[in-house]
Amino acid sequence: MPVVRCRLSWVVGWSLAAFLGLSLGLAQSHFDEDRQLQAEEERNWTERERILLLDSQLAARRQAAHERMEEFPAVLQAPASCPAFPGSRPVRLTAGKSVASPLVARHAPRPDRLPWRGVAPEGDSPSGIFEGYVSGPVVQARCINCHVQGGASGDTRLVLTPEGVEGHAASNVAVFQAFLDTVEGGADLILNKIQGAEGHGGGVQVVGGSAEFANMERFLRALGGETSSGALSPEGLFEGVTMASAARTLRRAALLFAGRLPTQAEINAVSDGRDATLRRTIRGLMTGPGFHDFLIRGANDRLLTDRERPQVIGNAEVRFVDLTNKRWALAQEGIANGYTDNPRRYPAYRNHERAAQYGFARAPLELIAHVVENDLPYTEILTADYIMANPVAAAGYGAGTQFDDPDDITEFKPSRIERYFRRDRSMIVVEDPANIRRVLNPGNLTTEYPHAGILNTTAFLRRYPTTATNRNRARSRWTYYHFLGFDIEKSAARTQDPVALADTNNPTMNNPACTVCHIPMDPVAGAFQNYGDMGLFRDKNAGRDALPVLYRAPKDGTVSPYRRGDTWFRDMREPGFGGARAPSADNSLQWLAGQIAEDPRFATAAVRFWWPAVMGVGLVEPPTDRSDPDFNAQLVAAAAQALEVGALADAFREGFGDGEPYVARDLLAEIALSPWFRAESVAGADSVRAAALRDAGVARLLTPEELVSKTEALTGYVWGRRFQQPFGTGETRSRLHDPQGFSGYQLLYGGIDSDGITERTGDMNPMMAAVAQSHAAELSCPVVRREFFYWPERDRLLFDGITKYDTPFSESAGQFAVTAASWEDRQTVALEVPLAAGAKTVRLAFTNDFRDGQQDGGGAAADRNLGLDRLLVRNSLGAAVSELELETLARKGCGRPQDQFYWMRSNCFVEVPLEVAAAGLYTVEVVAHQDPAGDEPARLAIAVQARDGSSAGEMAIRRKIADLHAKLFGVTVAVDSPDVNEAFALFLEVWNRKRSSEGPSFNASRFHCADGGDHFYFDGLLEDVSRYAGYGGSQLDFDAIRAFNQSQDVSDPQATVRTWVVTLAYLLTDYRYLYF
Amino acid sequence: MNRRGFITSMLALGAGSAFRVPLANAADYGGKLFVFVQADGGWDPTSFCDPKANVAGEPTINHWAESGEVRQAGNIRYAPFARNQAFFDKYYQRILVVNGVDAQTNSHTAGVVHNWSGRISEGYPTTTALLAAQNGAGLSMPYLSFGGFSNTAGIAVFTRLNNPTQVRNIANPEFVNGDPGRRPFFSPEDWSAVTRHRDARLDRLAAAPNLMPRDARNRDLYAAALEPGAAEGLRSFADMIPTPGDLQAVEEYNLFRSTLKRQAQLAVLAFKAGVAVSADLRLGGFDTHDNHDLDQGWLLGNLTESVDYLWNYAELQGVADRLVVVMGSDFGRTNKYNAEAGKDHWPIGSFIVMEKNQPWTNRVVGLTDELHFARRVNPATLQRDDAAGTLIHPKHVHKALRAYLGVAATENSQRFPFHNTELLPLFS
Repeated sequence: MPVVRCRLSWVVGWSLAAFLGLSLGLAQSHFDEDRQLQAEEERNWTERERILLLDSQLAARRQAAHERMEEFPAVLQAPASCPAFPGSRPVRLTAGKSVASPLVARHAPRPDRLPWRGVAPEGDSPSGIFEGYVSGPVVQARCINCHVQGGASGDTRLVLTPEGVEGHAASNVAVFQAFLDTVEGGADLILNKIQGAEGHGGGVQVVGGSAEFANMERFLRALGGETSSGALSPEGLFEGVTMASAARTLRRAALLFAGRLPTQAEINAVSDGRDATLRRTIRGLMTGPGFHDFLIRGANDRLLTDRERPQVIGNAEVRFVDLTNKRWALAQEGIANGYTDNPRRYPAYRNHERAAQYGFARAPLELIAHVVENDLPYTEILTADYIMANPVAAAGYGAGTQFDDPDDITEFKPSRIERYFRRDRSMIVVEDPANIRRVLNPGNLTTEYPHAGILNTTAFLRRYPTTATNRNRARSRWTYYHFLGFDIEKSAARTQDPVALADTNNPTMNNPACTVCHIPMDPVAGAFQNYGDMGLFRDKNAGRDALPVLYRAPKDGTVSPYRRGDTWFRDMREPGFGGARAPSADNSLQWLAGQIAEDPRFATAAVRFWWPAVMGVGLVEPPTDRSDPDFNAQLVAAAAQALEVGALADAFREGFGDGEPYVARDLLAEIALSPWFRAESVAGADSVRAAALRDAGVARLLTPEELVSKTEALTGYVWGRRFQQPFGTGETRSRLHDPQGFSGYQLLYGGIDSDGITERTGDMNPMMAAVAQSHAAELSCPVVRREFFYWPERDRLLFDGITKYDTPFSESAGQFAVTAASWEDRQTVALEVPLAAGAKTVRLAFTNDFRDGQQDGGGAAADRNLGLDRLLVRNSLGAAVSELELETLARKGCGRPQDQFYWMRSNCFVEVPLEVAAAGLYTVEVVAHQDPAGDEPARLAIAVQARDGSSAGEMAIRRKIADLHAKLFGVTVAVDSPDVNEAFALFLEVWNRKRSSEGPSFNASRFHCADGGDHFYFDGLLEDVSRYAGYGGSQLDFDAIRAFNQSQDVSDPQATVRTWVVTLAYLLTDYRYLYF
Repeated sequence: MNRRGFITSMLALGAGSAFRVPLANAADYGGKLFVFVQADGGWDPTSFCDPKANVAGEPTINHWAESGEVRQAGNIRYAPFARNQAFFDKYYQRILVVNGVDAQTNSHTAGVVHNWSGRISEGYPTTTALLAAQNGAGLSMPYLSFGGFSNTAGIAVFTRLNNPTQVRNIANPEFVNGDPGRRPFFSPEDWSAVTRHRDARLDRLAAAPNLMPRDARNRDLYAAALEPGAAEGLRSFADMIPTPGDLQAVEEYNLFRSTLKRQAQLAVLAFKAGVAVSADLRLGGFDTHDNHDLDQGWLLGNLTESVDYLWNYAELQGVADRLVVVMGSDFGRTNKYNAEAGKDHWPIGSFIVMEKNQPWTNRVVGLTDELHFARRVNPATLQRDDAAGTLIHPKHVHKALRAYLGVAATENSQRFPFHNTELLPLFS
């Protein structure tokens, strides 16, 4: 299927039929090389296909073994309620807005953040501070949940009295006093603990830098406690830090969110320096495929559901009856087409399978993208009563979804699972000898699928599987982690008590060492009650539930508590959340999703979820050990980020500015305005501040995917881009990003595979540096070639405003068609050029030599040559200032005097010195004729070059280098800056070497690049050049490419284009290109 | 001062080490080489190096014990399970077993962090990273990571080698597919000019004032990664990478795929090439909540076979005499089977340390009772001491390893100390 669109109309002008024989030989060698690479590609894909099939089989077994499952049977200390779970239902949010934009908070702290407001006055008594500022908002609202007799922290040194008890304030002051009197460094310990540090099981209770924190600190000081905090406050962390300009922030945001550079209009828009404009402009970047990719990538970095791409729905699965029967039909088709042994290898079957698995696997990520891109309430990622599906998955769901392009499997639309049948005896399934199943009768158990956003997508459930003993606890853990921002594993210390470990009396229900976390965790696990280990709805017990058979009918002689009709374990806590029970077993996950969406922590979790996608690193966690290196710095950083996250979450929950609540694009824009993103430089940072700001601000390494996007945006080129059935051009692979198999450098360059490697690395090592160098080396040639030779000036992305005749010495240059076919008919061509006084050189070059074996009518071989008769230079008044009969020149290279003219028989040049006495406008006239041959006339390039100082050409090159710095790095540099001087020095060195090594004869055919580097390279240049090979991968038609290349003018008479190739490689290895 | 010297001096400043990676010339490093094998998911020591027979009146601990007896090779007892006999019989003279190591968790996340960094909370580097920082600074890829837990805490940079066949392509960036035998993208003179000017520019960029810490660190890291020696090392390693047909094959068993032998092969080659000093190898799948005996059996068999291959290949390549191998896991597995013939999580695990010709080998330290509960040991004698002894935790193992492997006194180790932790005489 041809996939490359033709845009040949502008490919006009200079075209050559063929090059020299030498060039043909070299070109052939080059094409052979490309073909070898293509064959290698095909072999790799065959192997990949095999691995893919194996993976699909392994995936089914893998989940059965429940790798990566987290389980919590019996080891936690401390009784009673878990500190992170108050045990009561979260307060439902009221309508209306009470929270200002965090940006306002950022520059003018909200009233409740002002340290002098809501903070106890200096000199107040301990009891006065406590009763007025600490007891209610801190102790009774938070500490008392655990630090109470019988509470989770009831066996610590800080056991407090609840407010219902008379005299509780005085009693609690005494407790704090006693603590400070007996614990060395007690004040610091309390202050650290309440910030979540030093292993505080309750996590962050009071944010450092808040009024509550200040009150606690003053209270402890009033009691005589010594505190060492205060040297660097969270709110003062960014003092001395300069933020990036609006323009730089915009550029970084554009690369991040849109995978492109900002347009001139966007740059102009933010030039007013107003944050509101910047915010609005960044917000405007969040559209299109680049933003979609950002969302998919950012979401997968957290959820890691792409691990399931090889197989979400097993081959033997029949509950999605339409999918099953489609598989069967394709298999029969395959058998009919000769794939009798393994019809799954039938291309149509294989492509359908890939498309289906892709559609099922991407559901959670595409839902997030759909919600964000359409400004739907972000809570819909959990509450959506639909699933995102591509055309193949939608068909498998039995959904009647309308697609813009039903053949595009990368198009996802909201769909409903309409035809999911639980399985009992009424379902009739047959299996053919090739183990292909067919549902003859789906049976009676139609299912109104209770969609719950991400939570009951099969991919999410399979990524976080369960077992008979785990009982959905892993799903509970990760639900808390991703959507409530709480890591349950860090909520309590672990017991070393062997008695607790040996407890066999249902410890998760009865042993206080275990219940501390199982009280909140198990009800949420119960909410997943309808989903089995394969992620399917009520897939056990004839479709009645998802309970393991060994629970219902144990084989070890024990009596099961199971009763008919149960959908959850009777020896576990009931399904619920926050102290409330799920009202119905049929849709408990839907109910849970609604509960989470209404929980205030959901907004905080959303900030935590997206923070790494923007910053490149996760949030700083409070340090656990006071002796840790950089403990104070980490504490300050964690507190400062908690302030930022809190403000962002507040505004997200209520709506930014005048906006609606839970609009994720607003949130993302606001994160990009954070000082954690914008910090650009810091003056005089001490070691604590430097450590606290360790990963803040600019200059993080582009991920492999981001580097692909950036390079494509800047050059139109993607390193090693290929496409593959059935994804087509909707999802391509490249050297740096292969979502279909990780075959390239993605992992070597710090990427993830969502399986064994789940965290990106931003620390450059020699392997990664080598990848970056290869990236620059391999793509610079094709990029430069296309810009100078294949694209018209108006389409160029990098090298607009400069020609191949601009050399370090050139004043002006032009190229002319010489049509006169004999000396008698010789013609005059003229180049008008402004010149400064001084020594110049006029270079005359023949650039499109041609010959072939065909003989003309006279029996001679077709051979295009150029004859030069006379050079005349006139001043602006028309007076001749220099005149030379060119046949007087000596033989040199391919040129030699011939009767009345100087004859050039192949590509070469001659140079004539010219002394310019006075600055002015001059005209260089050359009288010439050609020996016609081939499809076009001979071309004469005339260039005037300076020999004594800076020239117009040097300035043009310097300006271009400065322009490339702006485009590639986003920095503004002067033409005489060190950056430009350095790059120009390289240019000059390389150019001189090429000129001196080539002499007067240059060979246009030396300009060769790999043609197979990007299978979209010829898009718009050449029609039908790419197609699918038998293995389903893209393949180029190198014969067509060779013909095309030979038809183009790729002459480089001044060696400048080849010099730009080297210079671009140099620039692409720049630190500022790879980091942003 | 050259770049490497500059960065080294930054390390000496201490404050800078928060975001500067140390480099020193270690090209002539001839010391020990370290491989840490992470059995990911929680292995079963009771079927391996801490064998447990069944106890009357208690649930079955091990099915193998219904018909088999605990065996012994030298002073090391092992379970007659998987391919243990071949392994222990061959290597007991190189083996130190540390049993009864309490990971204090049954969470995979915490267990992995605890067992490979020595601390249950995150933030500490792996001992692999400490060894790389001390012994391999300046090398092309001193710290190899094939996945698993490889936190560096900023003291080293690890290198992934998951696509080994691609390494050759990039080792010589100026050549097509990295092949010097093919037409280059650039002439040697042009590429030399690019690298020369690039390095000059990097030096200038690195000297810029008032950079944010990350910016400064990244400039240094990039410059260090482009050091000629690093690139040369990469090339020498690339030249040693076998062709795809000669790479150790991926091994498959039902749901499991093991690349452990291939990882071992690449690590040994990197050692031989002198470009690496430490490596984290990983084999996943040990989380056998069901079908425990079959799956754990294959995995333990693959694990020991792969370590056997590691030693054999190291011998072949002439680096076995310098090799130290550490094996461990997240934690252990329960002392009974669950209803699906699986075993769940159990906080008590084991370590195995291997080295040739050492007096501390052919020895088992640490204790568990018949139901695989950890017992306290006297920190000086390592004998059982229920009254005043200490439970062995991963921090004890790592503290002893740091001391034995010569990195305990380094500045990096001092920055990540183990407080209130006895130095157990594991290696004396």
